[in-house]
Amino acid sequence: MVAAPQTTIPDETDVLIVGAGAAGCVFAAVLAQAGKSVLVLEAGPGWEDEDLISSGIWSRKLRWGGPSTISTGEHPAGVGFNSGWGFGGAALHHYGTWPRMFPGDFSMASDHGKGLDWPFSYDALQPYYDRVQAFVGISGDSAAEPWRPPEDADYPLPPLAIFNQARLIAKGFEKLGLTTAPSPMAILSEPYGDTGREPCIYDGWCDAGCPIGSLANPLVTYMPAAKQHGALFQSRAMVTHIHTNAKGDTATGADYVDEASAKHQVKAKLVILAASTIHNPAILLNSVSEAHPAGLGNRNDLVGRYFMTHSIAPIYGFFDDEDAENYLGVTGAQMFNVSLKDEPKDGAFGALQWLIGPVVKPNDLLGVAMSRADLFGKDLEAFMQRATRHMGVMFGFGEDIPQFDNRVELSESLGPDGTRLPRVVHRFDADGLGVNTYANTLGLSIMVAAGANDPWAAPRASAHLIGGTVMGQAAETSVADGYGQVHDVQNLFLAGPGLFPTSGSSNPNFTNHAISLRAAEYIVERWGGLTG
Amino acid sequence: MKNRRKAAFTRRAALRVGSVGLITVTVAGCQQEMTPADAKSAGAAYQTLSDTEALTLEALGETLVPGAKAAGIAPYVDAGLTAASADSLLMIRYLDVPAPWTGFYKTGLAALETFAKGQTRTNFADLDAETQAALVRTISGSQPDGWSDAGAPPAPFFYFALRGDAIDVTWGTRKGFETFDQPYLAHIEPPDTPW
Ligand SMILES: Cc1cc2nc3c(=O)[nH]c(=O)nc-3n(C[C@H](O)[C@H](O)[C@H](O)COP(=O)(O)OP(=O)(O)OC[C@H]3O[C@@H](n4cnc5c(N)ncnc54)[C@H](O)[C@@H]3O)c2cc1C
Ligand code: SF4
Repeated sequence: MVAAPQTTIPDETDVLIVGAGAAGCVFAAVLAQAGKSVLVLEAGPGWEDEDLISSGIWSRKLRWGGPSTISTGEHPAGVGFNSGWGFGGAALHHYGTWPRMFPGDFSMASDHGKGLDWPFSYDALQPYYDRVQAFVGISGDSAAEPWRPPEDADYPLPPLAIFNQARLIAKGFEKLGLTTAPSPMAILSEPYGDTGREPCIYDGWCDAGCPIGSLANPLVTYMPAAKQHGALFQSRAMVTHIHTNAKGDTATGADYVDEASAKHQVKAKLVILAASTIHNPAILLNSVSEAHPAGLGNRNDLVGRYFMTHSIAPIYGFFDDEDAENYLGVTGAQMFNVSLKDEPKDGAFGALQWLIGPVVKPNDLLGVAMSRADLFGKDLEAFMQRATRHMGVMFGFGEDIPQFDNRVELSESLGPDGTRLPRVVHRFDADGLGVNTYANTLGLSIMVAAGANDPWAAPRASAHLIGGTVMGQAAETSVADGYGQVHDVQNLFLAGPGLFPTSGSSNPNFTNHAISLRAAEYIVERWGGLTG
Repeated sequence: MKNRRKAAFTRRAALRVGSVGLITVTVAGCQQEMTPADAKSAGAAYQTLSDTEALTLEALGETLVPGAKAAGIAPYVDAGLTAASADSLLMIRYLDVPAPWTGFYKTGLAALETFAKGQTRTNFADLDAETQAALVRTISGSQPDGWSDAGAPPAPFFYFALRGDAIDVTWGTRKGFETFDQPYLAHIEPPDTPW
């Protein structure tokens, strides 16, 4: 781990990027390559590959370790599990399941009168998806996905290997007339490019981080590209406030605190907040000034609003006559199935994605033992003996409809430099709950059709942190425009899935990369106008 | 793996997480890195838990997951509470309980004791296994009458978190995987002394 800064941190830079996670690293690579001086300030440690210890217990150090976020509301979102910190951010230990979003996700309000529209269409993003996948290397089988727009470029790599668990469950889908396809994974099935990244060996430790670089975490993708062009990455530097000029229309830099809680300032010509769905709004709301008394960019009380998280329906069953090989594969998924938002779901509206056959280790939140939280003692032991060899699992990811009252706000608890810590308030609406209920019922019938014994559904969980700083056409309905540019502040950009106006049911990181690449290139093109 | 920095020598018996999260135990003036199980049998003192709390925790852990006591649930939890929250390896990091977590454990263990005594007039640790299991069954599903609400976490949530710890310490290691014939398949092996 990189402990102390090797170089003096500049107090002035062309571009200041807050957060060295997935989005921050894409911006750093593009802007450094365009010749800008780039400084990335990261709150957490400077992780390196060798910190990615294969252990569900040790990997906890990779999760958010800064001041606590409070998660509340009728259906609180799982914030602790879904957050990262340090170089790579959550993407350092994410699972690399990289489906795209679908054209209908971009026009939900227009098409269905629900939620919000994106300020651009799928077509505008498609070339960026294609370019990101060519750079990162995605394994999959385009031809096997009937839900995929035919214009999308084929995956650059063949699919990952499929093991018994997924094969067995896929039979259930087939019997019910449902399609499965190899899951599109940002994991190398074969050597790719000249990056030195190795193909996957299917040990299933992705949740603890992949130290051989098969899985496209930022440490092996955009961060080296950024460093190669001179971007500086500083760990243990937590940004607390963004400053603007007196008029409030131009960002001038930021305050940050180092590991010893000493306060520093850095001036920048352009600022990009890529500090996650939770911390982007927290930083904006904490950046109160005369020009922005309710927080930066919060003139219309929209900062933090429309927070979303996917519901998860966890479905299990036993294949007692088979070795399910549930210890082989990847943590994300081997196969997947998609039901678009307008396909019927017992009266509920929203998309549903099945992720089939993730590796399950004995312990940890998504492990074997946690699938039956009611069991303990001898009963648990007996269950474990059976499940560690014979259990099959799939997760149904349900869409969350954006709601104004679901939000990231500031709590009364104090953090560094007088900031107030974030609190997340969330409840699923009737559609969100309905899609989850539908997924439970369907999932159990799929398991039955697959021939699984004693299938069961575990309680609803949640995954992915989305929305809260949504983009849109107008300042009255959104925080930022289609490039993440904060409506009132010309040189302040937001990055990450916090910008998504809808959640769909797709895992967010591929779309996160595509919108980041699009916005970063926009900044390069308009540099003079944005910073003049 | 980077070299692990040794914690400073101290005469006081101490159990703590070092710079990269190892438990460094000082017993009778000799500093050693140990598994929780070794630390326990070597008689290391607890830093955050009291001896009584540790006894209750061991009994609860053993009820939840057979083998948890020998695997070192008490020193494991103690180390996780003593560490800075960013270095803690406890599953509670995932459960959206604001750090620090000492209060969660201490009030939860106290509530369990009060509940056990209310039901049986006996400390939880002194009950027979069957009665312990019956009490745990009661707290696992709902908040029973007699579960103190003096800042204690809800009973089912406490059960869930402690069950997670017991599973981790017992089955979350290479040795634990072997219990079920599960290949460990490490890229980077966790330290010999797991925490
Ligand atoms: C366990 C897990 C599995 C996942 N699996 C998948 C998957 O399979 N597919 C998928 O598409 N997505 C997945 N995700 C989600 C994906 O990782 C995120 O959507 C993505 O990383 C978000 O990118 P980001 O740049 O917005 O945030 P992050 O990648 O989290 O980066 C934000 C960074 O900002 C830093 N930061 C925060 N506050 C400050 C501050 N004040 N000052 C300085 N720095 C700060 C944080 O420490 C962090 O490093 C998963 C996430 C988790 C946790
Ligand atoms: S399963 Fe593959 S991607 Fe996951 S950690 Fe192992 S080698 Fe890396």
